[in-house]
Amino acid sequence: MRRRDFVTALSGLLLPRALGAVPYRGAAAGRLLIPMDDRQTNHLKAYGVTYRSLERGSSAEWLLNYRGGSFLLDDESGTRREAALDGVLIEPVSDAQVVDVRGAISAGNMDAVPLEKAPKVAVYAPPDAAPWDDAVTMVLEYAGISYDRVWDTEVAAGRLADYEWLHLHHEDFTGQYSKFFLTYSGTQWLSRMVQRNAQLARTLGYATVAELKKAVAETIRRYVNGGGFLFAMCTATETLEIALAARGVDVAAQYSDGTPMDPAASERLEWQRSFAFQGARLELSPAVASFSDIDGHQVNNPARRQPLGAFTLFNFSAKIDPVPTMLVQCHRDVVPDFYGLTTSFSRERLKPGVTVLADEQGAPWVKYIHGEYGSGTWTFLGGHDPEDPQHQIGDPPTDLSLHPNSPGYRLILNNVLFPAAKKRELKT
Amino acid sequence: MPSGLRAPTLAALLTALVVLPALSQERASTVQAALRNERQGRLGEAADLYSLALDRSPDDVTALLGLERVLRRLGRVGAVLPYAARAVEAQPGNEMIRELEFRATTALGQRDSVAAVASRWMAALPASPRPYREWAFWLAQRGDLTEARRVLAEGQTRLGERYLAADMGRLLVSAGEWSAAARQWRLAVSANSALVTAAGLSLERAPLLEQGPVLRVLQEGDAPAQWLMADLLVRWGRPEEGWTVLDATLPDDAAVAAAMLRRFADGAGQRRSAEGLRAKGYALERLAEYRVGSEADRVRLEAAHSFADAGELAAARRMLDRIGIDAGPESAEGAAAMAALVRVLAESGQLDEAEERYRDWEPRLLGDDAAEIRLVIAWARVTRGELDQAERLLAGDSTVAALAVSGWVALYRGELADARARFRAAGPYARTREEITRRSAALVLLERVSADRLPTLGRALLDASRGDTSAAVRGLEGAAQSLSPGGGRADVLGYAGVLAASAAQYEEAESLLLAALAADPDGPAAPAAEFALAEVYWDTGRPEEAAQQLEHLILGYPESAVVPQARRLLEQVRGQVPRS
Repeated sequence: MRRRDFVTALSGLLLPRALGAVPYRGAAAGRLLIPMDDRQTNHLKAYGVTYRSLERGSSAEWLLNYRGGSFLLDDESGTRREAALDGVLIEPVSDAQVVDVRGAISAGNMDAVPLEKAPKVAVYAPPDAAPWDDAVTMVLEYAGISYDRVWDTEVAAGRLADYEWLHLHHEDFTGQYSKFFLTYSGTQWLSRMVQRNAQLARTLGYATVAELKKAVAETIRRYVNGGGFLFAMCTATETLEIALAARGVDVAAQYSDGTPMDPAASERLEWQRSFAFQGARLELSPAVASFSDIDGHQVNNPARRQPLGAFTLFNFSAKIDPVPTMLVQCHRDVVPDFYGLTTSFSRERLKPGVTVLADEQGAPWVKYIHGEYGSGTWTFLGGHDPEDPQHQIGDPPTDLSLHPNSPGYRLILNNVLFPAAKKRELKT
Repeated sequence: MPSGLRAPTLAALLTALVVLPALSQERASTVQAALRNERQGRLGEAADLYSLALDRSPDDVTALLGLERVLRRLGRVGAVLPYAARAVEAQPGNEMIRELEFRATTALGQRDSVAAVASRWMAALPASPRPYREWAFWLAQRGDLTEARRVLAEGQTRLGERYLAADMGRLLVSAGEWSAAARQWRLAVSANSALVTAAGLSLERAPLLEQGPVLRVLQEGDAPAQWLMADLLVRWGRPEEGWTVLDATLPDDAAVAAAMLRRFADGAGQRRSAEGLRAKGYALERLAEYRVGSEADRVRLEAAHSFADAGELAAARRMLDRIGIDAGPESAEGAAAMAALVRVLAESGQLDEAEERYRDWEPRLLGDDAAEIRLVIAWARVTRGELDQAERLLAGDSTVAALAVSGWVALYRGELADARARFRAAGPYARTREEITRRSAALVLLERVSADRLPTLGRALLDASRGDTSAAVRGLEGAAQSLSPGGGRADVLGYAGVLAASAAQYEEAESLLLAALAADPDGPAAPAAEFALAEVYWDTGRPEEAAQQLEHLILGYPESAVVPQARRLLEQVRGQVPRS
């Protein structure tokens, strides 16, 4: 099912909006409302409670723009118990109250989207990485949403087809080890990373890590093209795009693949093969931990580094654009920005047709973007960790129990539940 | 008439003598009028007047700078270029005019023009580093670090390496080449030691892994390089190492050395760590040697405070002993030093000497200091179980702080009703934050215990406060037996369990906490006991039991104050957050 069909199908599934409508699907006498406005005590775990309710086969609805993007669940003892344990505020609502809620939704820029099944989630990460290295695994663990870890071996074996949702974080798909090679040479963690990647490349039959990563990027492109949902953050966004555009072009520094980067690489990239960006100029210096001019903030390029501001989420029409509306559900419109190896995306590098979900007003960059590709969709969020704005290597991991209402992390979780709203078959 | 001076020449000279001052005056008044217009915001008129002045005198720097200013505000800074070119022609060796021409050219953003102007500037003033610096800075701002570096390197080749070293250092920091940057800064501070702070600020951001190589580079340098090394060590949280480096390389010039010591002490003190405060103390101790009289006493007093805050009581005492307290006049420093010395004596456990000094000096101490010292000694007596001596010191003191301390005296004697009354009267604000928390916890326990007098409980609590956990646990267990299940037994057993767990006596802790829960399963002490029990399970590698206990607590006592803690621990047990 393509996105257009999906949106049409959604409209058909939507509940009667008229006042006094018959309760949806003959639901039990009562429902549980999980409000997601400022009254919510733990926004992040609310997603986990909803996800696990779907896992148990219950029905749920996402009330877009209603009290911060609330959830309406079947009233089950299991859900009540989990909410109590997780400190998630729930409000039991009677059928009559549900009718009132639907009336309010009908009258405003809101909508009710049925959530049908808990999506199967895969996170692309090395097998030995701790969950605290990656904002998505961190929040999935915190919210109690189950996921599988996949790495190059699984990707090469075609395992992506088993999942509805794939997440990439700070992987460097140009095969240059995030360009930390020169700065951190000699450190144990980098040596391990290099050794692990080089060994895997050899095992899988690739001459270099850069070639292996290009092949992985290409498989991911086919996964999205076939209907997969891709969510990427930090460096994965920019380097995936470069790797896709760099077919037959050497974009890796000499330390990585034994040959210097093609000095004319920028001119030779085929951007029609990528999802989001075009016309970028690559950073040629192997000593500068920056990949291209796609990133607006250039955190590791002191002469070009830009200060952090705040980004504003766009207000979409819930009834006309349910997909971007789902992705920006939040109890805050303006969210403090946070650095990553790729922090933001230059406006002038965006392809036409890319949907900007959040930007910094007046700045030449955007923060959060979304688009369709083939039968699937991709969403990119710049930055590394929404609650560690200056993240440095070696910093202690973020403890999300100290940030249960994090608006930045909510954006990630919107992406996890977004595929739950869609029925489709995965083509690979 | 002098021979050789013909009539026409003389006429010209006479004309010049009369006309030139008039012209100069006219030009000055034109510039004045331009300045007036500029101040009043009439920028167009100001520009016209500056231009007029430059038409008359092309190398008038005041007019040229004024014209640049107003044209920049008008968004037409490029229009100053023809005037700048004429000024350069008139005064090719004037650096200010060259710089202005360069600045105006950069505003146009044309790389070739900028390069040409910079090259001409270099040729005209071959000994000046400024054209290299300005050009490189402009290139770096545009992100072209490679070209900027080439320009600075060219300047260093022509002028000598020490020139432009600071600029090169900054540029290399931008490029993340920390060791190379350190080499440049080493050259720069060697040529001008006033740059040490600037160099420290620049190199401060070096990542942890680069700090070693940077220090190695500086280690090979001369004394200013060592000072930079000391500065960086302080910035990187290694102030004691920094002190060792600085101490060994202090300059002979007393004024310079004193300034460096003061700067180092301030920097180290800002760390607020014990190490930082210790290093600050060392630096101040050394600084005092450069001072005399009351000024030296002030510095030693500051050093004593720093040592005392770092827990270096012997060093603090050493400083205070060198301040002439008894011999000195009734100065503020003297009183402060007395107070500091008594505090140090009390905190280091020399209570008899502290009390003796206090009684000797009491009339000379400031009112607040005297009261504070009295409390410090009394509190130290309380914690040693010298309850009578503490009470004697506090006799007649009706302040809330004294009431709070005397509440502890009553509690440790087992006079529970008195303790309750004194703690309540002291209120929630007296004394330190730490003690307020401890007092509140004690008051909660006292409110639950039905007895008015229970010496065994007081003794056990005193043992606990003195760190004798085993005796405290035994005492609490015994005291609990004399209380009814709902009259404090569960609370006292629960507290004993927590105490045992804190000393890693897990078996005993588990048994006491289970006994507390059995004594009063639904009583007010139950949630805290359940939480403590879950912690014991978690600490002894039994996550399933910990999770069950926590779930029971959260679901059974949803309104309890320990529920947020319980949720946090449950998240750790489940592996949902990193283990703290």
